[in-house]
Amino acid sequence: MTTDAVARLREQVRRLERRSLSHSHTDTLPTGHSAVDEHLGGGLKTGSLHDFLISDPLEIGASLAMLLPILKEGRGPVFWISDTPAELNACGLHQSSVSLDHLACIETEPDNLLSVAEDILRGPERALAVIAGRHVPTLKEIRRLNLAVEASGNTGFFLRSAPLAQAPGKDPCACATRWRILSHPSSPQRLPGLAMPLPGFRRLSAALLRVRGGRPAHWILDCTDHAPLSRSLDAILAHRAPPAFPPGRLPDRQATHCARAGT
Amino acid sequence: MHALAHNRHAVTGVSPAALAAGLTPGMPLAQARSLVPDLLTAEEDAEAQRAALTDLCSWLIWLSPLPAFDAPDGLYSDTTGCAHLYGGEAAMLDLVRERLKARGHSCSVALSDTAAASRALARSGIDQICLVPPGQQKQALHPLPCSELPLPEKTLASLTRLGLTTIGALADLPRAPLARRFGAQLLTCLDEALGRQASPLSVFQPADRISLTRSLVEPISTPDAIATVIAALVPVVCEKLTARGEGARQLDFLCVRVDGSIQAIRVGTSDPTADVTRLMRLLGDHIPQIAPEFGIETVILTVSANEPLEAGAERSVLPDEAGSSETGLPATLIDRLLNRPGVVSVQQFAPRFSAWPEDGQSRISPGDVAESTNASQMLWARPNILFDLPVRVQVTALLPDGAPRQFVLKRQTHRVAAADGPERLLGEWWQTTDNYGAIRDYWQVETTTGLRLWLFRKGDGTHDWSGSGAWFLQGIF
Repeated sequence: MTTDAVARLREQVRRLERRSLSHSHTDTLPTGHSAVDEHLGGGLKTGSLHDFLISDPLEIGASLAMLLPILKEGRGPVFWISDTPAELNACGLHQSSVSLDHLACIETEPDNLLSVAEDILRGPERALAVIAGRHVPTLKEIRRLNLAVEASGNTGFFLRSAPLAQAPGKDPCACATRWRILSHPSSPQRLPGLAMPLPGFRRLSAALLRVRGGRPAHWILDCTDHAPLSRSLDAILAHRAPPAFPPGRLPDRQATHCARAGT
Repeated sequence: MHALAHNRHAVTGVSPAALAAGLTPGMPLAQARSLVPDLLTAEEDAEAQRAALTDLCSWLIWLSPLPAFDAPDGLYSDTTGCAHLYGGEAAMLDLVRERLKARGHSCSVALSDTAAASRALARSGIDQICLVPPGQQKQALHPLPCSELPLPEKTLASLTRLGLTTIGALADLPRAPLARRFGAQLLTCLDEALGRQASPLSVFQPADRISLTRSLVEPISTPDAIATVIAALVPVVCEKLTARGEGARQLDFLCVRVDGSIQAIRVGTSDPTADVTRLMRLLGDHIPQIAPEFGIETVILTVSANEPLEAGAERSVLPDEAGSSETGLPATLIDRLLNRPGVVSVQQFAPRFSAWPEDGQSRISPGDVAESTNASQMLWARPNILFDLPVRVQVTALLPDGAPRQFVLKRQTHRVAAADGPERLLGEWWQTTDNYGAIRDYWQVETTTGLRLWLFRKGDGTHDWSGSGAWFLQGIF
């Protein structure tokens, strides 16, 4: 009797925690910044929504610098849904190593933006959706989308304009995370002979305003062009070092070379 | 028209003018050429003839539901019980000939009790109508030559040698010696023509459109009811498509309202499909667009475009986790989006070689596999966000051809902390005259707040012919 009740309670808790869903093993999309990934426990969760606030139209580049590596990490088709024609640039995206084959831009009427997004996110097909619109979604709309992504395991990203003065981003949020990413001055490279210094590596000021079941945080992130090394440099060099041969014996290729040189 | 037969070219078909000049089918081509030196001939194309005959046969279905082939140049039609629709048999034959003439064919039409008799009668003369009253085909066939029967060449030759030139003479002979001498085939032909033996026709089934019509018991108007009707019709259509080995590319769903007006929705798919759930979802998305008003009394579901299903297009039943994501965009989702009301456009990007960055990409419909252009070979970085219309900015630079130091955008001053450039782009002088000598100098700048922008100056800063020297903001990194 008591075990029955405990089992029932466990089942209820499981349902509340939404662990009963098929893809309960939470997959994460790493951001590529170790500090952020550590804080979030591996990266941004799939099967949830993430909110990126853009404080100024010119600041969208900073959010994209954060978002594009994540989209690349998703390895699924990316749908860029917007109510205005997307101003994306194929060459730039290609340089950011976003696969253009997997990217589709969908322009909708403003009223249909969220319903199209829901269609994509709910689908049986795997998809990542970036929802770029001026419309500020209400809590109800976001919860509806939340149900959709939970059921399918797809991931949605809101890219919405929210000026710092009007919307500080403290309002309640149904998304898993909420970010405000601003650009931060980099350390320019001063080279002799140039009137202006060259821009250094891009630096982002990433503020994690809200996260479900976690603490807000703030980082200054350096975006390097190259991928971070998988292990320490000396380890890689040691691996690449030529094998040590016993003295007085050359490998075969060199031996034949010497022989030919001798004749 | 001529064809190769027994090591020589023989005439197989002639125009009325050639017929008047004395040419007949079966004549050697050399003889025909000697009779008419400027004869225009074409080699027979059996494939095209068969296709044309198939076309004609599917056209003939207006007459009766049972048309059949008489290869290579005849058609049967079983008009039992159809004559009264056209006002009697004579009127029907007139109509057939009239309509065939309107299509540009000269023909002879015959109607009798048996198909074989009609065939012999129709082939006995060009451009005539022959109507045989019931039970009198023996008299009608009596004067016809034996060659009108579908007999082998050898049998016909020996019949001629024996002096049996007409069918009447043949029919009057005792049957047993005939069978012994010429085999059973001659008697079968004769019996079929005279109606003593029934011969089956191989009825042609024209590949028509798959269309289903359902008259509803009482008018429906709720979305649920329409969805139920769709759910009833789509599996039937898919079953028919699968039986043909075809998939639908376009579906039309017509709802006839009580007042007789029609509400139509049309959905298309990006690849041929006979998948029930996929088609049902496509149609289901359009239900809100149907305005039933007083109710819908009839629904029609038509496959307006279909294509053969490719072998192996069978989707795997198991949901593959990684496999599908590697092959680009999912076709089912793209279909849904393209057909969805409220979606303005669905596009993919492809880099394109062009001088000015705003022309540097083409928007293509999804599925057109873009050839990989050499975007990776670009020396300079390109922004992720690009404005098709560059925004005018006021720039302060130390030198007219130097790097920008600060700029004003929307009454806000941005100071430049670092800049990389210039990247000089030359206009496409081979396209238009105003691009001749046009120069743009692009700078990647970083402002003191860390914004990374792409600015350009029209002109090289020293020569007026290269551009005005005005500055623009074109992209955001």
